[in-house]
Amino acid sequence: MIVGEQKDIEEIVEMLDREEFKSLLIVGCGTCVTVSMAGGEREVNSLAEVLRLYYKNKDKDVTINTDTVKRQCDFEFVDKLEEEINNNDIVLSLACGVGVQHLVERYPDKIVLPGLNTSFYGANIDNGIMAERCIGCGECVLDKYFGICPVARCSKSLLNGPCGGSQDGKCEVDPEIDCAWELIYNRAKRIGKLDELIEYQPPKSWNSYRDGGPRKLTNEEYSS
Amino acid sequence: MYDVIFLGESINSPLLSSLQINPELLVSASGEIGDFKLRYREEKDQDIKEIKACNVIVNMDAEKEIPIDNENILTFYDQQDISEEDSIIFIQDYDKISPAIMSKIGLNKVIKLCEKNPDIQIYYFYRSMRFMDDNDQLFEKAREKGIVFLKYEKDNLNINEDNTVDYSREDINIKFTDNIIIAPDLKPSFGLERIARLFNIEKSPEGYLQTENIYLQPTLTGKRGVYVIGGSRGPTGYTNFDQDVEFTLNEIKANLEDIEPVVDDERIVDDKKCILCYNCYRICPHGAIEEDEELDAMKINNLACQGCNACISRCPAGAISIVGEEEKTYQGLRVMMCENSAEIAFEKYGRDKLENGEINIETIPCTGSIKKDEIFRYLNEPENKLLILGCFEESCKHINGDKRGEQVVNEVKETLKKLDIDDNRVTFKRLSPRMAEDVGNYLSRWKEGKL
Repeated sequence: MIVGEQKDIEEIVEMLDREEFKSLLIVGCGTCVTVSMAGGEREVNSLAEVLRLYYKNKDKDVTINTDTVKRQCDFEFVDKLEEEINNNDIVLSLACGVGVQHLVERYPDKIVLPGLNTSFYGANIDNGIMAERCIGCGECVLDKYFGICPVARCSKSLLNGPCGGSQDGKCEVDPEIDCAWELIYNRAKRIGKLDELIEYQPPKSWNSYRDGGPRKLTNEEYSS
Repeated sequence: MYDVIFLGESINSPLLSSLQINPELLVSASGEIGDFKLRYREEKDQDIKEIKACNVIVNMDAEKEIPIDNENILTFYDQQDISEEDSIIFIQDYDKISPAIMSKIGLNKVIKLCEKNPDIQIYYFYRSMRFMDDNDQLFEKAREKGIVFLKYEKDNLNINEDNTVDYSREDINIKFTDNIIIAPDLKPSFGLERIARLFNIEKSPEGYLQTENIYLQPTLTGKRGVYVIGGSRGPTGYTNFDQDVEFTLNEIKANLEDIEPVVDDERIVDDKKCILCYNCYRICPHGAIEEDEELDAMKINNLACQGCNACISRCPAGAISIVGEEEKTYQGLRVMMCENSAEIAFEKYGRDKLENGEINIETIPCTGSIKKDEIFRYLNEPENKLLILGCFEESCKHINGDKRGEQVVNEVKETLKKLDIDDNRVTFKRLSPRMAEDVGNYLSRWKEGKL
């Protein structure tokens, strides 16, 4: 899933203070960022209450409204917000960057601000802890690395690792980070495929990643 | 429907219908006390069977790990005959102090060996002889039989790579070249982690199936109807094993007669709002939440639920609520008191000591139930102030609700500071049920803004 993190309250307030408005709509997103505990109904309500408190403390007359849709990255859900968006001066979206832009695309006259930082594609590895597992490079190599991605999980994205900075299973970039190559090695050993690691992997083509510009996918079964 | 399922070794319990399941062959576990559903295999290649049971007892032995780098060395648990030797040394507590059960096993073994081979010279090294059952008599008996007990400190004894032993004390330096029988370290059974996962119960930091908690004595887990005995509890689980078994079987007999919900009110999950993120499942300290596969949403098992409301406070989709709960309408000074600690202390202190309406006292099931938005909303009225009184660490009935409550308050305070709002308007403090005098003290200091 897409993992997000709510922006620091100071940044949110600074962003809002740059705008002129009497009413604000905070829109949550009910899928990925709800799971990653950053932009669901709970966080929307909590942020709304903080901002009400903030404006009251500043003696500023601002009405704050809230709503959470299933997904801000689909127009059908975004369309349901039409009435509310029209009734509010500005919008603060607690979706990932995709959702924010989708709102902007549908409501081009409205100011829509991001309440989250979109962090990464990741997984829940423990209660309340999420970790990056994929960078969306557009050309999956997990088959060659026994299910552990060196592109996303090695700090240097080495396809033929490890580097000299791997120590006791940890990465030289940050000792909190597991060395992806140690993980790959151990996994290969576990499933009896160590010999396959000897094979040299040629440099990755990054055409399918950001180097080819913004990407678009068409599924003709649905598009035609 | 069985009265009890044993995961691991079964225990003689003639009045209960029971079944033993190999923990490795348990496939899944769901349900709650009085109605557990277990899927398992009798043998590896057989089909999965499904059974129902009212209770589950986990009784898995601890793993034995040799504390030195030599897998061939004999341990206290080995049955192998060693009568060929002239002399033998027993070593207990080599890596760390062993639990009492190890003294018992070592003493029994050394006596048996001595009785079988009266001519062998036996040295028994130990750092701490620990007592349970008849260990003191065994110790006496062993000494009478001529076994030499040598107490050592951690640095006085060293087992070398060639299995010789250096023993030094004051001006004595002796090298032993005899065969060693060593006490193994006890470690959590390899399967415990999986059992904890299948039943969604807490593990201790060491990996055993019981956390330090005064409410979990002696064999209860956070989940009603799931009990842990022996090595599943930890190395000390062997010390009072017989009493633990008796306690557990009595608990089971009582709950077979009558199982009532712990809480009166019912918590429900709105299946339209639930996104199956599993946060409630992970956060519930009582393993009371599971997926309702028909509804495609989580559900709360009412007999397992102990009403701490951690799930409500943490559900990111706002999908969990208490049926019929009314909105709170407090104003002014408000104190939230955990019903398991501060509120008990407050009742002892005397509710009538407060002037009428001076402070709003609200009983909460656990400080883990506090929600950020509720605090911010309350502080919206400038005259409102909030004091939250929770339990001390490791005294929370709901495992770590005190920490959750404190974390929320700290987060709120941090936010208030950043927004230049007085963060002293919300305060978190810990109390025990016995601190009646402190409640009065806390309340008066808090009113004056000095807490």
